Amino acid sequence: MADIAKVRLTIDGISTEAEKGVLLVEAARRIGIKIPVFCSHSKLLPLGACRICLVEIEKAPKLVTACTTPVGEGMVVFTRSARVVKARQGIVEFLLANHPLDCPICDQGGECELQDVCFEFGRGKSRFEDIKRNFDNKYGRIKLSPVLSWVNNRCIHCERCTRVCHQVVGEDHIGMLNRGDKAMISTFQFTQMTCELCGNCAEVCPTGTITNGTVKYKDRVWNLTPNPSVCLLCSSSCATRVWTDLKGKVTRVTAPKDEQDCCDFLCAKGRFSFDADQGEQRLREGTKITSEVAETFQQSESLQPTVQAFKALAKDSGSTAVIYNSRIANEEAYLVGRIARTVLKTPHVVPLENHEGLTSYLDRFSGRQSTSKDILSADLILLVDAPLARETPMIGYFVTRAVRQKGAALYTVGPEKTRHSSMGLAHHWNAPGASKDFVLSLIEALQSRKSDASAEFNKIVDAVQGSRQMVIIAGSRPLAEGPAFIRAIESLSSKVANSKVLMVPEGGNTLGAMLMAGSGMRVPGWGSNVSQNGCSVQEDVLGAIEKGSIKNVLLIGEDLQEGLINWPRWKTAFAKLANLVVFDAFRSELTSLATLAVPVRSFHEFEGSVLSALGEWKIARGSIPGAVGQSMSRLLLKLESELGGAEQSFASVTSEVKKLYQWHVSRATEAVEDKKSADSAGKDKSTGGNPGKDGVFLLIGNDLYHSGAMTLRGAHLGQFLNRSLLMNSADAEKMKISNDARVQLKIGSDKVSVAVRTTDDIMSGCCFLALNSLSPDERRWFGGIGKPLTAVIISGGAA
Amino acid sequence: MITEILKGLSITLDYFFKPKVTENWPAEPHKVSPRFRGRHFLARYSGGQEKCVACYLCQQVCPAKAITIESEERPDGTRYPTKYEINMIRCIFCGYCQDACPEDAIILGNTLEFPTRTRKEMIYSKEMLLALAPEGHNGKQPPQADTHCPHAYQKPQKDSQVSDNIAKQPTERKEKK
Ligand code: SF4
Ligand code: SF4
Ligand code: SF4
Ligand code: SF4
Ligand code: SF4
Ligand code: FES
Repeated sequence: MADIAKVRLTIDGISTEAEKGVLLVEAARRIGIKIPVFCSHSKLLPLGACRICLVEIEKAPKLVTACTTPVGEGMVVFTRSARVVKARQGIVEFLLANHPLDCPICDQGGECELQDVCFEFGRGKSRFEDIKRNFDNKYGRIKLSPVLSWVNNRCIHCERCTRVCHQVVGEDHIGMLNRGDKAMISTFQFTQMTCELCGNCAEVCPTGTITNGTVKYKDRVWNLTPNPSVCLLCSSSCATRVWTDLKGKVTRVTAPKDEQDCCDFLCAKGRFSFDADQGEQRLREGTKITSEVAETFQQSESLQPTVQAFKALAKDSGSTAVIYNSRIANEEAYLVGRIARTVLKTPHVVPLENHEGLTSYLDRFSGRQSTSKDILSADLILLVDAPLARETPMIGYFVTRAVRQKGAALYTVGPEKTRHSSMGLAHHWNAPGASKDFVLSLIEALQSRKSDASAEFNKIVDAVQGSRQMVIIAGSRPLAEGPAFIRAIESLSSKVANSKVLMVPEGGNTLGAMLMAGSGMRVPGWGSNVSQNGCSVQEDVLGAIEKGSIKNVLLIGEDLQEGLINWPRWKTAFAKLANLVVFDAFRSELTSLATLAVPVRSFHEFEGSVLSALGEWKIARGSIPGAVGQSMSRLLLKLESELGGAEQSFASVTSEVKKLYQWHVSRATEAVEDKKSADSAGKDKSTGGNPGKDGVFLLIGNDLYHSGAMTLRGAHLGQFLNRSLLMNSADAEKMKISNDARVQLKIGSDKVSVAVRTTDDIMSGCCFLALNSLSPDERRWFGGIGKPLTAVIISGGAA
Repeated sequence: MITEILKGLSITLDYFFKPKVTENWPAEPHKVSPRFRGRHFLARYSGGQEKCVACYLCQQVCPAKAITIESEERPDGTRYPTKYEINMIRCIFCGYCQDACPEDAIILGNTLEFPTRTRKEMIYSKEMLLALAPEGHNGKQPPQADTHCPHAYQKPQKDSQVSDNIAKQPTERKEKK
């Protein structure tokens, strides 16, 4: 950074220094002078459309816009001179000439940038007497999207929304139609939007033109309190502000506003799913099932049932399995791991997620994976089977910005063309489950070109050879290929100078939970004398319960039933158990089977830290007044001390967790140093399937707007579910299946009836089905997200 | 000395023949001035539609925190309160709510006396407040151009005054964080 030339300038009599190229608004902001802006936004390219930021520069004949003017040596700037104030007053008057007096009913009122600026610079009274412009959509009844409200009359044409849509979301869904006073923001065909980052236009709109439609007219911002939290719906783990009303109920979720790269935006899942945990399905009070008597207890009132249950678990140590999922904070995972190993003395600690590849990734890349800064400064981004829009939208956001704002080259590889493929320079079709093969052949081609490679593949090889700074991003499917893929990608990254790797697991705090709690085979740093021979995947536990060697199960997390693959088998197995203790935020068949079900806080009420896929440490304060139950980490701490452990404060757990993370990072760094010479990439090619012969590869994943079954519980996103089988159009033609036809999909011995949508965006021999669109019963034969299945399509299936 | 006594008595005598100002309250009702701020009511437009748009300004301005509002969207896209409650025991009848209301929807009427036997009855619901609207505010009149609220007691400032206030030394205005 030191080599960037600095210039000196004076703003309102304060002399300051800024790097060359910094814009005047930014330089002023740094010394605490606020220049009003509408069209300028820290995450968007400058435009200079609204002119409200006019400032006076000494010796310049005209006022200039501070949002587009870079600092210059010796500049003398006045941001509040009489000339400037008069100019701004004029601009405000023009803006208001056609602006309705909607403030009382406008949801932006109270946080409206136009209101603020008018209050500061406006004339106070209008001199315009003509009839104002009036669009039909006065009350926002025509919707851009079912979750957005949109009132054209209030638009000031700053084009922040359209630029967000292009530069940040990458969707180009909305634009400015018509000219002059007829100019309006609209979708071009009045179609409804389908972007996973939906809602960001509302977030940046300085007026109430585009607002969050799910809370339209529900409250006013001055009645709301922001609580810092973290979204646990995917591994982007975005920092959020959860707003509660006067009664403490969550009324909306927005992105934090500050100057960090990660801030200001959220995806639709994170923004609109806050109603998911307010419904009937929430587990609100503890349930205890003793022989045929079910009783409920208030969790805060009594810890006794839980203590007793844990005593029972501890008595039979060795036959207890502890299962957790990734929607828990680092502190919670750490305590779960510690209680399991020291209090319950069991080696069986099992994450619900598929984690073989993940473990290997964490061992090699902890602390040195690509960060958001790396993505934004990369000149080449390679997406290896990473449907970011669906899996981790906010990592997709960084990629979009790198491409659209910084001109990075983007190449995509995999069985599906995604949103990012349309922004990329080329897409290389690669069969599911064969990402390792792609990486290995790329390594080979870097040394000697093969003549039979496809044009797209050669383009990628050229790009990799010419790159200055490359980021390789792989999604959850390559991660499910296991350690061999990680070794391959590590070898690739070691061969390309200045390259970074990022693997994005699908679920919430997957990285943090895995590092803190570990599994039966992988014990985090604090206990070298505990057994490492426990079960480590859920199939093992299921087998052990059926064999009778595991008699007690403790399940901790959120929405646990969804993670248990093959639920009917689990159900019978659970019936055999002596104790089944479940800590969950939602009611399900599982909690009704449990001998003890303890309600815990949900995905935006929780307290603790989260490690995002980008390696950022995010903190959720858990300060939501209307939260159900107490925080899980505090509950676990109390339990631990009741069961004979030492008393410990939450703060000291937090610092232990941090230390443990540091330990993992240093271990990963050491491991890299060790392995530098040995190139351990497995040369064996994975066999893959032969989709043409044994049916199709069924790719399963999340629906665009959903994360597990969680978001389906809310009405806002529940309406978006897309239950159709995406099928390659050429394949469909061959099988004589038309678009919209219903087919039966046969997996194992199970059949599911679905409608087909044909598309060119999926590889021949593959189909895609959103796992969350299936009912729990239909879903029981599906594995977790990641591993492709083989399925047979029977056309003309019964509806 | 005697003159002083006589002087005093003459004043007494004077008042003796003047009209009485003491009221026989509560046997006879107290007469209030036209601008008296008594029990509130919620007004309707002459077409019958409620004026309140649930902007929450009255709730925000109320120094006694007497007003509770919950709001929703009507099917036609307009905004309305699903709940509008005034706790008359909390209320100090300052009239700020009326002053803040952009729609002239909440108005303090002339009723001085409205005692009840329980505290609960002193919490007025939206329906009660709407029902209290007197002639001219109750929406029974045929639709016509609505005039400005006769009860409004603040005249808008003159144009020049306003812009003068605002244009004066803008640099001294406090920066909002
Ligand atoms: S956009 Fe702002 S100024 Fe315009 S009506 Fe809404 S709150 Fe008022
Ligand atoms: S809708 Fe909002 S962000 Fe878009 S141009 Fe209008 S005022 Fe600007
Ligand atoms: S779902 Fe993922 S990308 Fe979306 S807000 Fe939550 S953490 Fe961020
Ligand atoms: S009169 Fe004053 S105290 Fe009473 S409700 Fe209105 S604002 Fe509140
Ligand atoms: S009474 Fe007036 S100030 Fe109060 S919410 Fe209704 S419109 Fe707003
Ligand atoms: S903010 Fe500078 S022109 Fe709009």
